Amino acid sequence: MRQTQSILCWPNIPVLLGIWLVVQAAPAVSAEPSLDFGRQIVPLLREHCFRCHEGRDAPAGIRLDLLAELKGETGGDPLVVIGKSAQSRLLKAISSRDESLRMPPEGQPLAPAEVALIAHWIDAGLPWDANILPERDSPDEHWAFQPVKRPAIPRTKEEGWARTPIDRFIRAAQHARGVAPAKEASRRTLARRLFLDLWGLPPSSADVAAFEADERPDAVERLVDRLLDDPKYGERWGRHWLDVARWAESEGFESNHSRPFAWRYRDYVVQAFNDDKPFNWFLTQQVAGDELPDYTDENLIATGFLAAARISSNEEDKWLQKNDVTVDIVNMVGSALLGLTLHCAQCHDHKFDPITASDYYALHAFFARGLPLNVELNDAALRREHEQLTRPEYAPAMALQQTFFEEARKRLMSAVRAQLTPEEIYVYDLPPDARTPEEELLARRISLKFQKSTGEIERQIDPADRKLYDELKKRNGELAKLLPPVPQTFAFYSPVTSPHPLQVLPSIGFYPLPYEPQELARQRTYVMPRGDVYQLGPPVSPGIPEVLRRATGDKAGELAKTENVYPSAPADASADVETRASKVVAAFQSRRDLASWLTRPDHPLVPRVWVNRIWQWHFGRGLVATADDFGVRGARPTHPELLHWLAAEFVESGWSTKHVHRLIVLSATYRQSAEATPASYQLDPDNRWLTRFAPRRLEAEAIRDAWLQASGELDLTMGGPSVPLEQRETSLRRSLYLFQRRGHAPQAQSLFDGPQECASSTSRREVSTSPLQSLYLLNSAFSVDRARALAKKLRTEHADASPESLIRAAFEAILLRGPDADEMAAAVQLWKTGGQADALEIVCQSLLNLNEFTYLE
Amino acid sequence: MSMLSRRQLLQSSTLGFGAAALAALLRDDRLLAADPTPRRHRAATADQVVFLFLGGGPGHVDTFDPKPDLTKYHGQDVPESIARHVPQIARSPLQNLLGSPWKFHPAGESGIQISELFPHVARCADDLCVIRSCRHDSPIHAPAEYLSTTGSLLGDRPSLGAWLTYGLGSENHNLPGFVVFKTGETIRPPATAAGFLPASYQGIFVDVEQGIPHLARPEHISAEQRRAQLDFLNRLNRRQLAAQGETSELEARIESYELGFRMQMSAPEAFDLTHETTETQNLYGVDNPQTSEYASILLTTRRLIERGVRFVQIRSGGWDAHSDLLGNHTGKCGATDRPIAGFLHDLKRRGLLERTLVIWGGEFGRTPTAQRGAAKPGRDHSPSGYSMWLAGGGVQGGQIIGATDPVGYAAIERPVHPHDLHATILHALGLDQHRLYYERNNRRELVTVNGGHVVSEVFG
Repeated sequence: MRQTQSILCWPNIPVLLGIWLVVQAAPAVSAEPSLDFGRQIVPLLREHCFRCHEGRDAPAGIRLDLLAELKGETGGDPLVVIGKSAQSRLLKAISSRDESLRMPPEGQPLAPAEVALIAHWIDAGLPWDANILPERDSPDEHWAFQPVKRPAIPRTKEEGWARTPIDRFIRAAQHARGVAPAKEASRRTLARRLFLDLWGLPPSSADVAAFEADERPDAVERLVDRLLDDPKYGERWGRHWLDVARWAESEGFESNHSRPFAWRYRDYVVQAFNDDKPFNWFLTQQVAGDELPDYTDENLIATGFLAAARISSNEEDKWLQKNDVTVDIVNMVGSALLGLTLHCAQCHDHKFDPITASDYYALHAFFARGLPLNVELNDAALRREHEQLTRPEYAPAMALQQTFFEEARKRLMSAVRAQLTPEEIYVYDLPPDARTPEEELLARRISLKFQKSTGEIERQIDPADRKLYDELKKRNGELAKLLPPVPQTFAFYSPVTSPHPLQVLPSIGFYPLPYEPQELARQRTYVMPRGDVYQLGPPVSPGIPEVLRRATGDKAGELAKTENVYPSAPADASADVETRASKVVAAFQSRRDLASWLTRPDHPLVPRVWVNRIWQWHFGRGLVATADDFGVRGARPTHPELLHWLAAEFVESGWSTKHVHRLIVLSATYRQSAEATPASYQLDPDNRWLTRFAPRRLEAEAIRDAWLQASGELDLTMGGPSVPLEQRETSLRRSLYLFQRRGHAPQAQSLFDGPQECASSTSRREVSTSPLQSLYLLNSAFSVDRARALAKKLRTEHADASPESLIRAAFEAILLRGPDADEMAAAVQLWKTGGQADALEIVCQSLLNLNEFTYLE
Repeated sequence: MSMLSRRQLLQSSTLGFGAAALAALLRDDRLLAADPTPRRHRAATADQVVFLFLGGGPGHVDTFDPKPDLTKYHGQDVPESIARHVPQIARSPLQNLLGSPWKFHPAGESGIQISELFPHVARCADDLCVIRSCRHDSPIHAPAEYLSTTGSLLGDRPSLGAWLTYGLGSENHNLPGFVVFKTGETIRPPATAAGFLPASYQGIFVDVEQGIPHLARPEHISAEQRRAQLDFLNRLNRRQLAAQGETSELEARIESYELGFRMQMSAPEAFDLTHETTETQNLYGVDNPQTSEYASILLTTRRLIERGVRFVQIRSGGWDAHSDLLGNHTGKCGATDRPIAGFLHDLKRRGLLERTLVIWGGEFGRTPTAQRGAAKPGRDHSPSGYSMWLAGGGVQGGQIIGATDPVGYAAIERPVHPHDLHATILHALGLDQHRLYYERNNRRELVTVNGGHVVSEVFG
C-alpha cells in the first residue's frame, strides 16, 4: 500500500516499467464519442481520488484537482501525457493488476469502464472546465509565499531514537511510508563525517582515537562544539557562502582585471561564520553596509557581496555596462536570498512565478545609485602603517597627475557639449524626474558622447604639459608598484544613499565604470522591455515584488514596529532600528529598507531559503531540492513541516546558523550509517526519507586540502591577500586562499567541479567524474609531492621500517584505520612490485586516490 | 537499486558521467525530466565538428565578401542610403571607407569569389558554403566570442562543444570528447567551458607540443608499478563498493581510473605527428616556419577526428586589425591558408570530410571604414554583417548564402544570427535544437537559448 503511494508521489522506475507492461497487456480502451468533464470525470475523481488528492493540504501530497498539477507544471512530474493515456502515470496507477501498486489503495478499484473513461479523457486532450475545478492555484497561495507558522513537533512511537526535534519530523515521515532509519554510524565514520562536513578537512588518527575513547554521554556534543568553535569551521562554511555570492577576484569578461582587494570580503565572510554573526545582521551589512548610520570598515567590506558582480570593462556603452552590473546584482539577490529565479523578469513577466517586469525593475532601483568600486578604509592602524611605508612625494605627485587629467577631461567634456544642438542641451540638462521616457532615451544617447577612454582624455592635455604628465604617470606607476597600496576594499558604494562621504580610488580597466556621483544621483530606473537599455517603459521606484508585498505588508516603515529586528546585533544596529522607528517612511527607498524587509522575522522566504541551504550542505540535498528556486516551479519540500519548524527555530534563536548546525549534526538522522538495509534501498531508493546517510564526493577544495592534511604539509595560515596566480599550484595553503581569477581556476578546482566563471549564484556544485581527474591525482606534481612528503613523514615517525608496519601507518594516516588481512596482502603485493619509485610513496599515493578517501560517508 | 547500469553509464558519454551520475542522484526531481543524453533526433549528415575560430575578427570585405563599390567610394563617407540601415551600435563609424587592398578571383567550378589572401583555400572553393550575412549586435571581443561559441554574451552557458559532447558522447573512450587548441596568447575559457553542464563536458585545452595535461606517468614510477597501483585501487575500491551498495557515481569513479590508464596508453600516439608521411606534413605546411604551428594543430586535429573525438575547437588569435590591416591580414592568412586547405584536402581524400563539419569564422567581421588615427589604416569591429564558411558534414559546397549591403556594412539578405548557425550545426549532427536540452531552474535550457532558425539552404 505504501508502495502504491510512491507511484503517484515519486517515480520508481522499475515499478513503473512493471505497470507499463501491465497496461500494454490490458484490453484496448475503446474510444467514446464525447466527454463531459463535469458530469463524467469530476464525479469519478471525487469518488475514488479526492479523499487523499484534493486541496492544498492534500494528505497524499499530490493533487488531482488542479490541471497544472496533472500536467506537471507545479513542481512534480506530469501525471498524464496528454493524448497518450497508456504512457500516463495516472492511468498506470488506477489500472495496475498488482493490488499493492494499484490506486486507490483502499476500497474498490475503478471499474474497467471507469478506467476507460479516464483513458479517453487523457487521449481526448484532457478537457478541463475551470468553472468546476481550478486550472492552477493562485500564486498567492503558493506554499513558499505563506508566512512561516511554527508547527508542533510530531510525536513518534520510537521516542528513544530521536536526539533532536528534527528526528521526530524525519521519523514521522518515515513512519508514514513504512520505512525505517539505518543504524548509527561508527565513531570513526562519524568523526570523519563531522570533520569533513564542518571543517572541510579530515581528522587525524589521534582525533579519531580520542573520540572513540571518549565515553562521556556528551562526547559528540563536545566534538561538535570543538569543531564549531575552531576558525577552520568558518573557512569551510564561508566558502559555501562565497559560492552563493558568486564571489571571485577578477572582473571577468574580456579584460578580466584582478580585484586585488576583494579578499577582504572573503575574510569578512569567514569571520562572520566563525562569530556566528546573526544572519539578519550578516545580510544587512552585505546589502546596505555603506548606508548604515555608523560607519565601520566592516560594514563597508561586507558590501563586497554586491560588488562581486562581473564587469565588462571593455564595454564602451556605459548604460549597457552599468545595467549589466545591476542585472547581475538583482539576479544574485533573487536566487541567493529569496530563492527566486527573478532573472526571467528582466525581459518579460515571469512565466511561472508571480514576478512582473515592474517588480524586477523596482528591485533594480535599489541598486541603481551605487557602483562596485575600490573604496578607502578608515582603520587607523592600517593607515598609520601605510603612511610609514609610503613615500612623501608620492601623494603630491599623484595629485598633480590627476589635476592634469581632470583639466583635460573637463576640456574634452566642454568640447563635446559645445557640439550639441540646443535641443540636445535642453534635454540633457533636464532633471531625470522631469524627462519623458522619450527624452530620457535621447539623454542617454547624448550621454554616450561624453564617454571617453583614458587615452582620448589624455590626448587633450596641453602639449606643453604632456611630457611632464607622461613622466609623472610613469614614475607614479613605478612607485605604486613599490609602495603599499592605500588600505582599501572592493565594495559597493553609493555616494547618494550612503550618509558617509568615502574616498573612492581610481578604477582600473580600459573603459572602467565611470564614477560620477552627480550622475548617480540623477539615476532614474525604468522598466526596460526585453531588457534593452534603449527601450524604456514606465519609470519605477525602489520596491519589492508585489506578491511578497502582499505576504509581508507593504510599508518599509512598518518594520520598525516589529521588535528585535536585529536581536543580538552590535549597538549600531539597534540605533538603526530606532532611527527607523522615528521616521515611518511610506515606501521603500534605500538598500537599508530592502535589508530591513529581507530580515523581517516573518519573512516567508529568507529564513526558509537559508535553513534549506544549511540542510543541503549537510546532507547533500535540501529539503527543497531546488535550493535557489522556491518558486511555483521549484521542487516541493519533502518535509514541509520540518522546513517551517527549522525556519521558525532559526529566527527565534536569534538567526543563529550554528544553532541550526547543532540541531542537524547532533540528530540521529545525521548520525546514521551510510550502510542501509536492502529494504531502505528498495523502499527509499533515492534516500528522500533519509533512511541512511548518502555518501558524497568531497568538493574540489576539500579534496586538495585533505591531501595536504594527510601528508602533514597543510599550511593553516588564515586570511589576507590570496596566493598569487603563479604560486597557486605549489602553495600549501588551504584552497580557499588560492587567487580566484574568473575562468582560470586552480587545476584541482577546475577538474573537480569547483567555481570557474562565478557568473551567477551557485546553490549546489555538480559532481562529474572524468579520467582527467584520475590522471591529475596520479600524475600531477601535486599528487606526487604529497605522496612523497607523506612517505617521508611516516618513515621519520616509525622506527619499525618493515613494509607491514609502514603500510599500517599509511592506512592509519590516510584512512584513519588499519588494513584488514586482505588489504594488507594487496598492499604488500603492491609494495613488492619492482620499480624505481619508493614503494611506500606508491602505497600512499594509491590510498589517497581511493574512493574511501575521496568521499564523505 | 540503481536505475543506470554500468553499461548504460559508460554509454551515456565518454568522459562525462556527470549527467548520468546526476540523473541517478536527482532522478526523482524534475531537475531531469527525461533522458539527459538524448541520441540523434533525425538522420545526421555529420558526426564530428571542427571549429576554426579566428579571434579578433577577420575582415569579411578582405576575405570572402568582395565589394567593388568599396574601392569606388574609397576615402568617402558611407552613402546616406546605406548608412540609414547600419545598426546604431558603438564603433560603427560611417566616415572614410577603405577599399580592400586585395583582389578577389572566382574559384573552383562554382566560381565563388575568394580574396587573394587565401590562394590555397580557394582551391577548395567547391567544398565551401560561405554565409555572407552573419550578424549580431555586440562589437566587443569577449561577449561576441561567447555569443558565437555559447549563444550568450555573458559567457556563462555551455559552449557548443560541451553541448555536443553532452548530447552525443564521444566515440573514443581513450581521448577527451572535446579538445581545444590555440595559437596566440589570448584564451577565453568561457568559449569552451561547460557552463551549467557538469565539468566533464568542458573543452580540454591541449598544448599541441605537450598533449593532454597530466597524461604522462611521472618518470620515477615504472609501468609495472602503475599497473599494480591501478589493480590495488580497483581491488580496494570494489570491496568498498560491495560493502556500501552499488552507486553509479562510485562505479563511475572506479571506471575513470581504467579510462585514464587507457588514455595514457593510447593518447600520446594520437598526438605524435611522426607517424605522418612527409607528403602529408608538407600538405599542411608543417615544413614551413610561417605555417608550421597552425599546420601541426590541424594535422593533429585530423588524427583526433580519425580517432572519434567529437569536437575540436581551434582558436587562432590576433586577427584584430585596428591598424595595419595589410600587415595583419597578410600575416594571419599566410599562416593559416595552406594548413586549412591541406586539412580540407586531407579529410576529403581519407573520406573523413563527408562526416566532419568544418566551421570557419570569427566573433565578428571588420568595418568597411578605416579606423581613425592609425598611421597604417585598419578596420574596427563590425558585427552587423560578416562572413563565415562551412564545409563537409553534409554541407553543399560551392554556394553563397546571404548578402551584405554594397559596402559590406550590414547584412541585408538572409541575416544569420549565431543562434541560427548553432541550430544549423545541431541539425547537421542529427539533433533537434528543441529536444537537446538540460533542465535547470525548471527551465529547459537549449543550445540556442530561445531557439534559432536552421539555415536549411546550407544542406542544398
